[in-house]
Amino acid sequence: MKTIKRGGLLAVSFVFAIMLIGIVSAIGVGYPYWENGQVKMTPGEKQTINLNLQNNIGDADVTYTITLAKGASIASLTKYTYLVKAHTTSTMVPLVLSIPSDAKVGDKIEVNLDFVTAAADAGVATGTSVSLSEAVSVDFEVVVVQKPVKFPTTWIIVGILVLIVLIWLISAGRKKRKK
Amino acid sequence: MEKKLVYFSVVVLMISLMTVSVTSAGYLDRFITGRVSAGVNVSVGITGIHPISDVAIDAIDAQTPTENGITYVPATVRVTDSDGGYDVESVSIVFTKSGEATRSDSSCDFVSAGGDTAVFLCNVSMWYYDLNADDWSALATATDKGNGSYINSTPVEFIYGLLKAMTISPSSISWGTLDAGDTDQSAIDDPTVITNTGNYNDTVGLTGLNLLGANSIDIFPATDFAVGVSDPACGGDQVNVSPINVTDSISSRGLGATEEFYYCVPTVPNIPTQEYSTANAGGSWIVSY
Repeated sequence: MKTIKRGGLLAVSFVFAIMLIGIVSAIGVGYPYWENGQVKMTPGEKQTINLNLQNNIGDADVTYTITLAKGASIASLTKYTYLVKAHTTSTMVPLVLSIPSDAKVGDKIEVNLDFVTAAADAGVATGTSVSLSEAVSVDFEVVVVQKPVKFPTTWIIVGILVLIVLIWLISAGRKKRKK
Repeated sequence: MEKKLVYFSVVVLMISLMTVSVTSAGYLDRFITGRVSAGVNVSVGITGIHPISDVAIDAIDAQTPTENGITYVPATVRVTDSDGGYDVESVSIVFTKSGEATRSDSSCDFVSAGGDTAVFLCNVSMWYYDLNADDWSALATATDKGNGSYINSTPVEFIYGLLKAMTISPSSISWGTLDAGDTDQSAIDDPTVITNTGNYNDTVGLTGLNLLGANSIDIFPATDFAVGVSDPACGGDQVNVSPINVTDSISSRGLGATEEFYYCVPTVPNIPTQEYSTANAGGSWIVSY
């Protein structure tokens, strides 16, 4: 009877030990390269940046929760929760950046997004225990720059024509003087 | 009448000569047997003597690394040869970035040839831990079929993006039973192994959460815990409910690159006896990049 009890206890301990090991959990967020972590935009400009959620490890689908911690004045998301299927790497999060038309050149706006995956099932732990999950932070700075001045093509052509006529007139005048 | 007969005979003779095949065989050829084949395919390879005049790589799109995997980067290469596109023997391509391993495709696939241009498609495997940069350089080399000479393209730069990715294991740590006043109590099941499955290369952070008692009233403050990259971590950084960068932590890039977190309760606080956990508080501690 004692032996059976001891065997049962060992089996239960083994099961608990397995449960306590915990599961590997993963997170992966890809985003473009920005020189010096800066995105340059002009007053009134609007652009969409695609952030890439991946779940290439393990067989479980993962739920990503996004918090827009900084930059809500210019940045917006249409969704804040994404279910990313296992073995996929192509889920895109469109982040829309809109610079007000009255923004001052030289203004800098910090944008910060936090991506958190749901904590994996940590199993059963007795006593003092801490569950762990992982997060990724995407930070960059939007710098307001001047709109590049576009010189109309027609004016360039007119300028060239005027220059040609001037050269022709000067050379014609010189010829007359020589005569 | 006689004349007509002569003319008729001449015409018949001519027609006969025209319809009969001109063949001859000697006495010794009487044993010739077999069937005559109706058609013969002949192929003649002609290679040009002129060298390749130009090799150009189309713009390469910005790439995002694949978590713990390989990103196949396609690159289209156009080769010009005045002897025609088929006079190109082979094309190879290499991606380089200072301080990084070279990535290459030594045998790009022939796609098509038209006029004096041949198109090849290269596929280069880039690893998840390759450096995030905007100046990875692609250089293609084409070899001429006719004279064996080769020429290089003008380098083309492309962007390899940033991937912040990790796995953590195990996803929980515990201390079992602690007594108030105990000191330097290390976690039972640490370290937390943080594997870098992307190309981020910087410190690793930790955000704590107060542990809540089973009665949902009493708390075991996160600040009573310490974390470090070596065992024991009792003299490590104090855990906080706001993010901290763990001293000396680094998310190295590379195959199987890992960092480890160890935990300790330097002094167990005098709080009511019961089970305390982050699960009771409805959250977790967060390891972050």
